[in-house]
Amino acid sequence: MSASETVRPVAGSQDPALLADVAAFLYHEAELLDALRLEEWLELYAEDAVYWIPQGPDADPRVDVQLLLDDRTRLRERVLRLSSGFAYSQDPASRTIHLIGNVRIAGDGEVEPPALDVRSVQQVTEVRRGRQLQYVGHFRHVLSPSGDGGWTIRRKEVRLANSDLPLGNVTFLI
Amino acid sequence: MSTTTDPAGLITEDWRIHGSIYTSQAIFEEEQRKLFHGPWLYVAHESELREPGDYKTTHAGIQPVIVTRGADDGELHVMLNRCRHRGATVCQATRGNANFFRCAYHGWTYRNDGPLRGMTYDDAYPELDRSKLGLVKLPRVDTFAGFVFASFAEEGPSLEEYLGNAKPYLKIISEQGPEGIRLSAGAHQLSYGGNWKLQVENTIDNYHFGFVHRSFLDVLADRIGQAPPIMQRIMFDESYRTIDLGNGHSVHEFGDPRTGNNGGQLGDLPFNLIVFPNLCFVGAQLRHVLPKAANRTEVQLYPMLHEGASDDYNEAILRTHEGFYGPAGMGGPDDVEIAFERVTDGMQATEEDWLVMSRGMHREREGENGTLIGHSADEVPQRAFYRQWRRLMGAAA
Repeated sequence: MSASETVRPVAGSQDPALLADVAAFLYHEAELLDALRLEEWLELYAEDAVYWIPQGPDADPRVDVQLLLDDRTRLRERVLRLSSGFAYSQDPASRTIHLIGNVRIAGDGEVEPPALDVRSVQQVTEVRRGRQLQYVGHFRHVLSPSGDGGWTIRRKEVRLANSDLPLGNVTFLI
Repeated sequence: MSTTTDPAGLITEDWRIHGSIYTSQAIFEEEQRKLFHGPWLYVAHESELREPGDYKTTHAGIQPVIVTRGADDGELHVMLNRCRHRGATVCQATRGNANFFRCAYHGWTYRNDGPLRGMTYDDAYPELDRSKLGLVKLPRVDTFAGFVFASFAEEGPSLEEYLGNAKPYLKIISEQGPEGIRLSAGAHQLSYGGNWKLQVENTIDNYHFGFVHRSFLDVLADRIGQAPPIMQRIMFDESYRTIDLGNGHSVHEFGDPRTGNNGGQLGDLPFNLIVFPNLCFVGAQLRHVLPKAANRTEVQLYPMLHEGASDDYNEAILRTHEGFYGPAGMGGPDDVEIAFERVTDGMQATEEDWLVMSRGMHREREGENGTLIGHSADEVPQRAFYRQWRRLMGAAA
């Protein structure tokens, strides 16, 4: 999928209550990340979840290098590493604040109901090593209803605007 | 505070190295004149330039260059990416295919092998000799085992003489896949606030691995259910060794360079290699270190895919690479944090400005072809690098 496909207008559910519900879920995920409650954050992800940060607007994960493309096992390893006390690239840990907007539910048929294809724009401000950096991107969450009336993340894609520039340290979790 | 400026005086007989080597902009500029202007410099792999007209942009030292395969002659050319008229870059893309490069400023057009093909409204230049206004070419371009190098010097050692004892290792790298290797997956791009040599010398520094990468070793231990054996082997396995190959090149062998492997956790190459001054190989990766200023560096990490292998096999190479390397990797960023940025911060304390680079110098022994062989965790590669650095920096420009 190209970036232009990803950001094209999508006609999905206009149900205000459903939209508010998924937006609240995204806010919840962001709050867990900003508070470094990583074990709880990991619990939001399904066992078959995929977490993908492409490098470049037209990245094909089969043939191109990505910033990351994690299955649940590697995602758990990331949390393990960040919690180990020896992940020096996060010592001290980045302070992050997620700002979330443009939340909508896509209805272009890529995701089978009852799962939802949720798009948002997120601006992540990161403070570390005496610097404040900005990351912004188009985010995509594929959410499935969980047994308790909430949501489980099946897939998360983070298309950063600067993903193909030389970057420093993106080892905090976006 | 030392005020030493003579390059030869910045490295002592007992292998102490002066911090200004990493922090001085004057030394950085001297390096550009002596290390990056004369000796052979890596610019591309032939897999990036297969068809006539293919090009890539990169840097020779700090100078932007275009590497092309001539649309007409099929030969490799390396040219400065700078219009001869008023200096704008003529090629903006990282890679592509083009028969001509047209400067967007006033429309001067160059053939992709360099000559000036056309100037717009050229009746205003009655006296100008167009034949002398092609893109400036690096006079020597040569390849070894698919790796493309160029030199700003008209004369000097041939590429094969320059590569010397590094050649067999480059050959092995080039034969990793059933039909060779290719750099088709793009590259991770790193940026850090520190000197370029910090990345090069960290490429073979087995002393650091268990310290800087402890969190990655913890992850590996979790993955395989026991402590990974790498540090034990580095410290005690006699088949693990570092070698000063001469001409600034060095290698760390872990097992037989042709048949060994490292368990596949970081890619299958059974050695790490440094080709002086700024080309490195680790795991399944070609690492091109691009100096920008004394305190600023960019690094391109190209996963080397196996030509003739299945898509699944090559996809696994990418995922393994991403697990450790790149801006979001679980290993490389720890090097950026400690070995590059904390080092750069610490070296602002210049009251006592000497580093200790003598680890294991007493147990280096002579090998074949003028090589020096040492312990896996010794600073043999660093001394190999700085022997050549001192030799070139001491030479007249």
